[in-house]
Amino acid sequence: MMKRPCGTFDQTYAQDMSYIRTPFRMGLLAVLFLLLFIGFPLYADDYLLGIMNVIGITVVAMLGLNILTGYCGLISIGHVAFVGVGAYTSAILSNHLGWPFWATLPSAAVVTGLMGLLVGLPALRIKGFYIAISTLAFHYIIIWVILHGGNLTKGVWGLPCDSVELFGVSLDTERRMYYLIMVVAVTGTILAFNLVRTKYGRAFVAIRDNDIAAEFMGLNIFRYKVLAFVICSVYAGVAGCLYAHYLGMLTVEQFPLIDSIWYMGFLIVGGVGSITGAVFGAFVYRLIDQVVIFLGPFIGQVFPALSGSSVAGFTQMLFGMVIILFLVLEPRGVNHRWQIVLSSFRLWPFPY
Amino acid sequence: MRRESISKERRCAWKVAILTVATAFLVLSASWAAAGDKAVVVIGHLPHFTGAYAATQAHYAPAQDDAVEWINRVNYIPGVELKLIWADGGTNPAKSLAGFKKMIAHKPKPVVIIGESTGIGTSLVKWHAKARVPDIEGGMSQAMIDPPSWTFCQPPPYASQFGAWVDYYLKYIWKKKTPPKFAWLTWDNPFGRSPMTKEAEAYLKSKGIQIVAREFIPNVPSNTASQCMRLRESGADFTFGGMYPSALSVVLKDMKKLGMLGSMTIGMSYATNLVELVNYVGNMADGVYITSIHPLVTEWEQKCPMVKEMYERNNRKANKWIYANCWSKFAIAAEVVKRAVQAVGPENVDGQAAYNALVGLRNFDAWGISPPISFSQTRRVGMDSVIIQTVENGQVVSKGFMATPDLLPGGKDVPR
Amino acid sequence: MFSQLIVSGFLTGSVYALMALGIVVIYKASSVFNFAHGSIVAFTAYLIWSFVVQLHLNPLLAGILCLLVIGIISFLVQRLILYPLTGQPVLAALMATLALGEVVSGFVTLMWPGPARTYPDFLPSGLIRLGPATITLGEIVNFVVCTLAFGAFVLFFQKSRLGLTMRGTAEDHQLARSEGVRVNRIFILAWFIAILMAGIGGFLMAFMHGVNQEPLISLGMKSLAVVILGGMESISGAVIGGLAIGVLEALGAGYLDPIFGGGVEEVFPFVILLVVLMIRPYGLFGYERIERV
Repeated sequence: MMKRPCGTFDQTYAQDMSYIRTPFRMGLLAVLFLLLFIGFPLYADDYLLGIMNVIGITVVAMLGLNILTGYCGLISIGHVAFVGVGAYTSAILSNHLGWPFWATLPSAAVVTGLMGLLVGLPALRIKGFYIAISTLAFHYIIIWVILHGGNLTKGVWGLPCDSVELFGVSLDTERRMYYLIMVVAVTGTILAFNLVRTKYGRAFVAIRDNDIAAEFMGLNIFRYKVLAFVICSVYAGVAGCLYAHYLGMLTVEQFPLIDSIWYMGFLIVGGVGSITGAVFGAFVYRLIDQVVIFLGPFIGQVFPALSGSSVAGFTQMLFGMVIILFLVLEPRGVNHRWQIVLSSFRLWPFPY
Repeated sequence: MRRESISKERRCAWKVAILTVATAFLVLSASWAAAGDKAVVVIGHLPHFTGAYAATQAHYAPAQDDAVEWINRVNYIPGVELKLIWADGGTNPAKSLAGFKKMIAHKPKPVVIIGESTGIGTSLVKWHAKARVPDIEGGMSQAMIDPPSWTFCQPPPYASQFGAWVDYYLKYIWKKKTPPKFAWLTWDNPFGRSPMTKEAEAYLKSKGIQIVAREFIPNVPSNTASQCMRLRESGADFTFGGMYPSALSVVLKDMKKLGMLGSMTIGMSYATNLVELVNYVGNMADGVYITSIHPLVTEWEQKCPMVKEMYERNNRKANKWIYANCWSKFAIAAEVVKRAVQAVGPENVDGQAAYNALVGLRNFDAWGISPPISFSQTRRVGMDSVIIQTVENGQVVSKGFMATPDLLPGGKDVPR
Repeated sequence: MFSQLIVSGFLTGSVYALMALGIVVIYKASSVFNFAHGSIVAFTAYLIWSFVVQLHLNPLLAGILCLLVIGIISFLVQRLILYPLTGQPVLAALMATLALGEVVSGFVTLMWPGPARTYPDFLPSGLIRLGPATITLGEIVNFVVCTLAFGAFVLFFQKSRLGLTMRGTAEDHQLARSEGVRVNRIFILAWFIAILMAGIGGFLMAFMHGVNQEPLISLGMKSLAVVILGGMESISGAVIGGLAIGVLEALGAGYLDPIFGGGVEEVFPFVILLVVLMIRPYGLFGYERIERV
């Protein structure tokens, strides 16, 4: 995977292990961080920051799904329900018990992780696409529990959740929340990058590629599959916690099944099985949403003959068509195209 | 050979895609509309033209344009040109939040935003407060009204609608001396379960009525025989709940199959559009009552000629009931903007001015398209009466206004 | 009460089974799990409404036109979406069908905005008492139509040459291709049959719910659970899965709702599904593939 320019060789083990291998890369990364944490918030208004906040939360959730699906090869179509578990856990803890954010975040992660453990158990027998249905079943069960949770989840009424307070500062604006979400998203990304280079990451890939062969090699595949579920759920729980504090009010309608399917879908559009792919997927997901919302009233202005609902139908079609176009043009995901662009830069002016 | 031609195709398609996007942006930047000479005040609308609510809310599309067109034409708000911006919420909180933010980012900022869904409205409560833009909300939930914030709900609480239905049933339908038996028959979702509060059941008990069954219909029912049979065994005399017509029609068909149609009086909250229900099941809808918040089409056609005029002038084909429903929210919005403009002048109108105007709204008649609306510093529920409507021989008829008891937690009509 | 639940659950299940066949056909032929099925069910119901109610065409002509439209759609789907994805990861094709569902449902919103439509009530409305259970004649008609469609489906696959070719193609694309089978056309045919099944199912369901997009989509998506319960490659599995889900839903609502306070109907089939999968990991009738490394 690691393509490097000519003449860059590893001479020590430390070099071989290091993630950032060239000074140029280090520079690029520094520029990226500067842009993310100083440049962008300096010039962006609340609207752009709001988009980035939602993207950041989506990135965290998408990273978890990517570890489960992209690395371990297990399909989940109940991911949003896990986000919901995280969100409700932190909202219940902060609302009923008054816990602060630094306590709700790990609790949400732990509770959702345990839930992932439970959902992973059927992986003992079930495999392939059938595992998706166990996640689907858990989606229905989780939603049912939230709806019937009585005063705990305030099922039908909506559960309020206060905004984050860290070190005496209330993170109640887009700008303040931006830093928190970005720190979590970047940390999550770095952890994911590292995770897939460890023994566990390699085991996941082995299971994805051929689980029987992996078992022959002495991997306890059940253990690793459950582990993948747990890691996926922990990410979802963290995303859910951020979501709950960010949104301020939870209702069960915020976690519809269709969003789980779209998570899966945009992971594929972004590039399944690579961390950058997951990040791309989150960006594409939320940006297409924005484009559609932007285009709707605009089309209405250009063609006054169309009524609003026809316009909405049209934008919905557009949404689907853009995704189909993405897939037909680049079925291996945006990340694949990105790598091609990168390598052609690297090799320029030679064709290959 | 084959792969090569595919990749050529791909390369060509990329070019086409990039060209299309580029042209789109050119067209976009070229056709930026210029504003008029009057002061422009912006209001927002967040309808759901796609997703689960699309079938109903599609009719809001012509209504929103017509309402704003009429308001501007008759100069309802003197010296002000009302401009409408909207975003499709897609019946999805994430998408609605994105749409909301897009509207809030509009320059000039909208002074009010009209919301159209209980679930979405609940999700956005804190956002409206943060942005300091009031929400005139077509839905209704506990979290929106308590504690009072920037969300103003138009309909009365579901529990109070239920109270009005119980009062009406005891007064006009139930003729025997012994108290009737009651059963919940409702959707198994937040909307359907929202009338089932402690206060509502206490109210029932205070009237000496016993609850004999609680039956829940799934979102998309395909077979409700078991729920209907349990209802029959329970011997309930009347029911209440919230369901859309498509779901209720399945229940009615099953009731007919089991020969129990007419053995109990079915009551529904305001979202069960009787015209649509009749369209589905015809005469089977006879005897279904709803606690409506909108007059019949024949009534508003007389009372509010401008709605009829705009409907005909622009050759609309929408369902008139739902069409007028949308107007009623724009009536509140227009009145609020008008009062805000009177208070602070057209240049200074903002969310805060609209909020002050909303808080001061007392018994506003909503141009006759809904029962009168009042808000106050502490009150976030617009109406305190509903219109009881029913179906007789396949025709929707109105039975007149019914005051809603205050059955919110701590309300004055909650029995202690 | 028990017999009533069983009978009405069975009759509802027969429509689920029919719609599930559509997913199985495509999966068997091309290993693509069709997520657009729900939207297609809704779309075909609207299409039939347009031809029969809006344009007052005679039913025969309407039928032919519908077949024509379905044919064109199958061709477009295969040629424009799935053919370019041949040889690409299966997940990409899966996602493409999901996006296709969005396109179709946007198209329905665009073409037929507004409230639900209804078909004229030409089903007979009498009641039949079957022991302690009551069923309507309409439900009987539903059941007969489903049985006929299923019969035709099985006959086509077992007896006709084309059906045999399709089965062969499903077994092994490479082998079929070397025998001179045009695999692409077989895929188009599979889509055609699938959309036809979706259409019949949607038509029957629309009598109950009206021609209304959202309920039809969610009912169509129920076939997802049906197919997995039955086993994704098995036609008889789809039928039994459909009937089982119908009956389980009815029983869940009948006996568990009072205990759990409602809403079990939607959860219960999935719990059963989970249990079944623990015992038979490939669904009730799926092939247990012998895997080699």
